[in-house]
Amino acid sequence: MEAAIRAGRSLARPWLALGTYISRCYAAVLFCDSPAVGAMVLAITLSVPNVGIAGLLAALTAHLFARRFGYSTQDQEPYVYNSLLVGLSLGFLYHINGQLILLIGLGAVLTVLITQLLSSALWRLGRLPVLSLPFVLITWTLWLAAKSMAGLEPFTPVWPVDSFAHPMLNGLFTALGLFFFIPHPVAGIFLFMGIAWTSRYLALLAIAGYVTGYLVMQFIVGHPQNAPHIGFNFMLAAMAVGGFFTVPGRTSFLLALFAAALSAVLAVAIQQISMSYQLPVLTMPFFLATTIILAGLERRHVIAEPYLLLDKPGLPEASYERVRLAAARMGETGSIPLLAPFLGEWQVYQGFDGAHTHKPPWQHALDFFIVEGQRSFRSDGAQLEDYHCFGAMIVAPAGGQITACRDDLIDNLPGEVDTVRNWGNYIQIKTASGYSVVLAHLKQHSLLVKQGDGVTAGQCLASCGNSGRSPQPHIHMHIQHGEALGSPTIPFHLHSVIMRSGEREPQTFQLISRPAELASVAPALRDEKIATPLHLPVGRRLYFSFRNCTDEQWTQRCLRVELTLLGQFRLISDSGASAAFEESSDILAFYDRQGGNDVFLDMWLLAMGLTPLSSAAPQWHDQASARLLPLHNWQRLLAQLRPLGAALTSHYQRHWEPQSHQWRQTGQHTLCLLPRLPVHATTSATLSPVSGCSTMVMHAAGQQWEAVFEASGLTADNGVPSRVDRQTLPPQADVAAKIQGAEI
Amino acid sequence: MGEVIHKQWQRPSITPHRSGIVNKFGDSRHGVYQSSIDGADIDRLLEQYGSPLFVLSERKLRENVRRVKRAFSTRYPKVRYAWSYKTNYLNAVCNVCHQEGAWAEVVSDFEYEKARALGVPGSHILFNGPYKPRPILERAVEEDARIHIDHMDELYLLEEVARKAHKQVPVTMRLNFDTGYSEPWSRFGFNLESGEALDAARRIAASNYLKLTGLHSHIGTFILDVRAYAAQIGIMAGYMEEVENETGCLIESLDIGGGFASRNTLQGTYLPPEQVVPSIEQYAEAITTALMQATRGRAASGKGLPTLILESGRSVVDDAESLVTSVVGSKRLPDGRRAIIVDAGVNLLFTGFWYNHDFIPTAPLHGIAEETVLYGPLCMNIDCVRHTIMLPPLNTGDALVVNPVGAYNNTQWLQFIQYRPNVVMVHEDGDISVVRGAENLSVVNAQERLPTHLTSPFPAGLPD
Repeated sequence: MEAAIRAGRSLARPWLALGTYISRCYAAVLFCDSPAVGAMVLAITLSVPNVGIAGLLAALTAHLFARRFGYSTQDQEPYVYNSLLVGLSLGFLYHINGQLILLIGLGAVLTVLITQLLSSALWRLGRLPVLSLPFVLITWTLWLAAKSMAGLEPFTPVWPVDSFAHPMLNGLFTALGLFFFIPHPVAGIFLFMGIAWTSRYLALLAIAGYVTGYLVMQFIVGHPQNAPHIGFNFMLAAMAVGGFFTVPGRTSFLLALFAAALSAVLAVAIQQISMSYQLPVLTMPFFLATTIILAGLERRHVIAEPYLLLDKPGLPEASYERVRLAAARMGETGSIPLLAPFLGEWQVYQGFDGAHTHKPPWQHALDFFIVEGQRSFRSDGAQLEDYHCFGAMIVAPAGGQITACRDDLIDNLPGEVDTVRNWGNYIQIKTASGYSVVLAHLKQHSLLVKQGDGVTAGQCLASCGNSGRSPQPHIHMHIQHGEALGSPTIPFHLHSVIMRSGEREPQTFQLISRPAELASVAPALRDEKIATPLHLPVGRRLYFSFRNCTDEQWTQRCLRVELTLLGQFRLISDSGASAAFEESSDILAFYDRQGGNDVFLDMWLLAMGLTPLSSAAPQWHDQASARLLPLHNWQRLLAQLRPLGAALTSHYQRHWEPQSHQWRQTGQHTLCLLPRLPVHATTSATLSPVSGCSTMVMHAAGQQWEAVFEASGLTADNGVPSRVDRQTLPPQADVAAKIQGAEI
Repeated sequence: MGEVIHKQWQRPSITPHRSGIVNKFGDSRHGVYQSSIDGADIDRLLEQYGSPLFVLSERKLRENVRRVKRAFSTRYPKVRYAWSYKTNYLNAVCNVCHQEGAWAEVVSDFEYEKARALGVPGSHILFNGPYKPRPILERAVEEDARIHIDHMDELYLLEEVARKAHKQVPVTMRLNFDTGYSEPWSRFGFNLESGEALDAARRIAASNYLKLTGLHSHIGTFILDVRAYAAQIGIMAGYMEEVENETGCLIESLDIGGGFASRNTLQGTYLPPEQVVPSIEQYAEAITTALMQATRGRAASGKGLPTLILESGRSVVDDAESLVTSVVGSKRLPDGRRAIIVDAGVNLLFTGFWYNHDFIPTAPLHGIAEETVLYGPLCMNIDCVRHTIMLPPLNTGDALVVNPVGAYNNTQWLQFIQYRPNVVMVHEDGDISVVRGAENLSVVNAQERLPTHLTSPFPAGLPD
């Protein structure tokens, strides 16, 4: 019996796969990847069978052709939705018969080919997307050709005229329906629901775009009644510019409205020409408006808002969250990360835009020295050796090549300066990205490297001195364009440092920091005792016992590490849900949660989301994805309704527990659903120097979850058998005792 | 009315004429005096706390710990500083060091218990020394102290203790070897050249209860040549590689002991300490440069850098403590030299046996400096704290300050025929407190027990 079901399933599987694939092709037109939304779009087009079947035929033909001739058959490929639209357009004009089917097939194949050509040409023009240009060109061509084809019968159904209260609302939905060649507001309503299901922000942009275009038509052009026929252009332009190809924000929203207005004007202009051939404008205004704006933005010389996502367009919610996380973990866009150029704790002598010498074009620079009790020296400070930082080791803040250096200048006596050779003894490192890092005022004859040497980040270079324009021993660091010493500087930030604002203030680990004057900075150096047990190599499996404390039932769970084709490491739960992670020399960081609900994986991601690999890190902050937090249903709904999602902030603390020989890493997570309605959750993980994460506890939404590490293992590979290694268990295997210790 | 000028009386002095020997440093010390210690007036201190008196400067001590830590931690990424209890285990001194982030380095059961009593957790104690009795070893294993093994028998004993405790104990091995710069201290630890050290490491590797995670060596004391440390680092790092390759262990720490010199003059040294004693930064430079060099390849092989452990006591506490002593008498020796008797002898200034301590008056002295011998108050011929020093004539009651005296004097001092005096600390805010009260008869007698038949000195009446 079971075998029969299995056989049935395996037979059904290819058809199911094809069905899912086709649905996704339909969904892709709405920037969505949900098969359910796609199926709905398919059903809407099939509400007028002539149109729907023509579209389906075109999509299938394009798919078969692409597969046979070796093109990529991914559902997000531009030819997929272009061919679908070509098919729909033909079904919109003519009855399906043998000739039309031939024409559809021809059009679909042509779409695949032309899309390849156009997309590669546009990409080279400046990473521009092909959008629906192939559809417009091919449809125009085929419609022109079809006019003289005797065998085609025009399809002229009587479209029911339903109207909503307001002509603008009516027009909006009709226009949306017309995009799929079903010019009926009900179709439009369903399509709009599909968009809203996919992304509330895109739905908002669609409305805003339509209203803007409508107003332009009314007040500038003077033909608002035309809006429904071309209105999908306004919506598409607003969605593409404001939501899909840029990071959402105030600027990009305004730009989206501009795109909608521009597409309205362009539509009227194009109509003047195309109507003489009795051709509608189709989505040409949308394509032109979007392309003009994106191409213009792409050619800016600075990285500024709105940030373009031409390489990785995506749903606005996802892009926004990614950018929010990037801001928290990678800092200001365009700022270069550098390591602290020293060991131990130093203070900032002069910060960015400093009062003394950090003026444009050298405003992006940091000076460091060491102060104790508000003095940078001991005894009377008359000798250079009295200064705390004099002679301290200077290390490379970035890897690269030494392009210039000198160490022949004598160190000034305290209070004296050399204003001729301002930089004094210096080292200039050219990084892989082409920038030059400058370290200046080094001690005479202290260089351990020479011109032409390759250096790695953290390598010892020289000693702190007092040469050049330096009244007291300190180190100057900046990063500049070009190799001429003293070229204009560019912004940078310190990466992985332990900061504190005063001598007796608590220390905080900061992944990114641009310290202010007199702030204390120490590099957060990797500690193998934390880093080694947390290491997640490909094939590693982690077995946990996991339970929700209300039902007391322990289940076995497993996390495994996989490497994707593109080289991304992912931690994959046995439920199929997964998250990407990055393991650098100083942090372990998780991001990009994918897949269905999985409280166990979410607990791991909340507890371990950003874990510094330095044992000196006592506390730090992160901004993880809000979807990780277990919420009550109403809270989830509220979070969903916010156009760009709610912001989750996490504050972590870690300390060593001598009794259990483990670190305890606790996280306080706060989700701001509404201004006065924060949702709190706490996580606590114990990190063992033997087995890594050994226990986890999470309190959220009035519930408690627990997990206990059981064993680590290895996924089998050719020649490598799978393995479960129970020896990595911590010595005290008593689950209850461990959990008791893990109470928050 | 004119001011009445009192002419001060001067004790007469005899200065023999000497030809031929000219002091090339001149008579620059003439007129040097010190009237206060870290802002506290010495006369008032003596008035309040009596003479002799040890005076600690909390500010100086803290500065010194910070300076050592900084000198190393700005030159090497992983540095741990441990306070060497034997140098000065006054509780106040220890806790100042601990408050500055120092671990405890102890060498006996007494010191271990002292550190624990102060509140230092076992995990932050380095337990060193050639003799660790079984009970204290059991406690140290129980409390996760970092135990340094000195010899084979201790290795067996520790293994036995660990087996009974069902624990795998991480241990550090003490090594001795010849750096070529200093006299080898071969009585401590396992000898490297003879192969004993590698044998011991193999024995540890074979044990289920011991795990080798650290190496320790202490090349000597008052080492004036920084190259000795560079050589020590080279040898230890070489052995680290060897022992890791041979036994598969992972060395997490290299303990280089202490031995840094302070600003004191060893007897027989010609130049003043300002010229021969390297600064902490110079020691740090030599040590970290050698260590960086020796561990360059470690990151590539996936092993972290070893933590550098320092146990320098003398260079941290020595100049943070002064001894104030008073003149109790003077006499002329038959050879014509002047002899001064002060109230602090080698019972309090034990280091006087090997240093030429400087004795600085607390007020300007008048008269011509002449060669003087300084004797202590002990009824013992060897109680001489300075065999020869050029001092102007001194009167009874004149006070002299000796600095640095912070290292070893408060731990090696003798109770021989005298009570040990007050030790006070001048705090950062200028307050002064007694950190060890002067002894009295009940302190000295506290541990004594008299058998009943010995309770009376003259049970049969006073002798004739």
